Amino acid sequence: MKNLLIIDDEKLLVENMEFILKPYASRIFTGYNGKEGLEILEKENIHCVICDISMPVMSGVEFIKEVRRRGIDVPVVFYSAFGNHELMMEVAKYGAFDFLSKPDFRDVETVIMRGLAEGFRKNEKTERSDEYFISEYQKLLEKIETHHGEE
Amino acid sequence: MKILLYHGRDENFPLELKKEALKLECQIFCGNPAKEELVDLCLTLNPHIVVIDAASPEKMIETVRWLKSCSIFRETLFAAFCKTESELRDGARFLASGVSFLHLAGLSCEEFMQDCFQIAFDEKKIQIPPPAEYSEVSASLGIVSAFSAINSAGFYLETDIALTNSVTLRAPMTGNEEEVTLPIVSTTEGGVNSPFARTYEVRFPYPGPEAELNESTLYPETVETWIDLKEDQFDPRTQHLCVFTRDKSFLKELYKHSQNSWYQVFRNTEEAVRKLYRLSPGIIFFDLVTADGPDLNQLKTIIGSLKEMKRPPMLIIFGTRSESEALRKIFDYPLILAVTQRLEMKLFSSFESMFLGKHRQVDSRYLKPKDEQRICYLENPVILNSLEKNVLSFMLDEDIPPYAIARFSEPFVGYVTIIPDGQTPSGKKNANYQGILHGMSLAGKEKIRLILSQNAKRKRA
Repeated sequence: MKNLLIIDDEKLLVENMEFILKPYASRIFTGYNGKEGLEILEKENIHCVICDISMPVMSGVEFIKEVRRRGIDVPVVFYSAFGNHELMMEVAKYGAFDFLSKPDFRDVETVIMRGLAEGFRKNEKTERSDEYFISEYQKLLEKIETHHGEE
Repeated sequence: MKILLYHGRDENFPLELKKEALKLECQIFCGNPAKEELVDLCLTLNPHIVVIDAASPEKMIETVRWLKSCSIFRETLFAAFCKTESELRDGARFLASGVSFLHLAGLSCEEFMQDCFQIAFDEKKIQIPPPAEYSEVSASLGIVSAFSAINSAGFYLETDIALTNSVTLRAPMTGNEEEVTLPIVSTTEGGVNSPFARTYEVRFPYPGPEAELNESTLYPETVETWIDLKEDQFDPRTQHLCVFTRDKSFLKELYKHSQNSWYQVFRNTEEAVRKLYRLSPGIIFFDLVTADGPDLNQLKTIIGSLKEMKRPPMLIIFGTRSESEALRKIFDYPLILAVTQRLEMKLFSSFESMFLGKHRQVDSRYLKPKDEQRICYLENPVILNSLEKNVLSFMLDEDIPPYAIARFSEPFVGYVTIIPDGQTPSGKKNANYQGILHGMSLAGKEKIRLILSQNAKRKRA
């Protein structure tokens, strides 16, 4: 069972997201600002959060800062208008899983599937082994070789 | 309180140092090379001055070079204690690897300490009274420089002096015993395997199809033969890898590990961005953990430089809570791998060996730090004016930065380390310089004093 939390102050956007992501999560919870999101996180077993950066009452930055302060290590995907690099760097300090750009939700399913899988792994308290990083490193090396080979 | 570390086997020298240290608010620590590694001691004590024995150059040259490649020791003064004149003559190899001063046993330890402080600490400068007489003695001053890497097209020259379009020097790979003038094609800041201020890319002027040939024409075969004959003497390391960390326990392990690649260790971004283009590293390992929390602004600065490279390197970020994909999007740099663990040797060496296994070797061959043929001198005519205590005053047309080291071969043999002084205007004809004389015997210094006094032209008003 994988549970998803969507946080955004735009109601229509939340409904659209819920509709798109329904096939990928067992249960979907929604909140309209960071404070509501925190309350849901404390009560429910959430495996992944998708959260807007700019919101009233409690912004995405304040949200993730508080989430980490409470020791909750859930993957958080942020979506916002791209180009806001300062805010992106700010949330990255507390551990961002990925970023998606508004209003185009390209790749949202892929990102959320990865986020849910990662959240499930963290829930099972399985540590990432060195082999995982070596495998990721290998993929990156191959990408470089392909790129240099094309030059 | 200043810290001086003596890492050597002499029993009397530390006693002399300790006696002088009392006058200078300096604490002396001693390390035994048989029991302790110099790198471990330096990382533990963070000394201001390090004195090593010149007796075991094979290991010490590389150790000093490695320490100087870490930016935490950028301002540390390294001096070599020479027990014999033979060790003194071998001193140039130390001077091209990060040592700034050669001290011969038996000379005044008080002067040695004062001279080190003069070079190392601006605030400890001793006021040199103006000389009673000025002389004008012609001499030749060779700026200590080093060949770094070579291929059949040219070589990299590391030096402190500012050059423009060409350089005149003795280049053994040209097969010419005399000085040759070679064109410079590019300049970058910093040295790769020396602490010098600049690296110049120099090309061999091979003749074109229409060129007039004569006995001084340089042919590619000459250089290629030199490289081939020297093949097994080149340094096996060909790749540059950069590490950003302040973790001293990791650095201790890195030193023991560093036979495979050239490492440059940075603690902040300002100096890194100046050197990165020349280094063209294959990978950068970035330790995000600092005492004040993760520093993403430093990352941003570094990545800005990496994007300008022809072949941007992989960037492995340790100690981050964010995922690789998130960081790739923030910085718009696809070659990022984010690792949650702190920087540690096991994973680090796995990444390094995989990279070295797959990545092509670079074309240039590097000369070993201990290779005598690595050293060269860029000769300049100078006018010697005076010698007060060990401070030599002279005039020279070229622009030499503070702390540059030069060798006198005429009319005496010795070294001088330029000291920062308000009277060294740069770029002016016949600019005045002062430097600490070292690397010579007492008899040698007396000879200079005699030459200067015999040639005294005028008395100070």
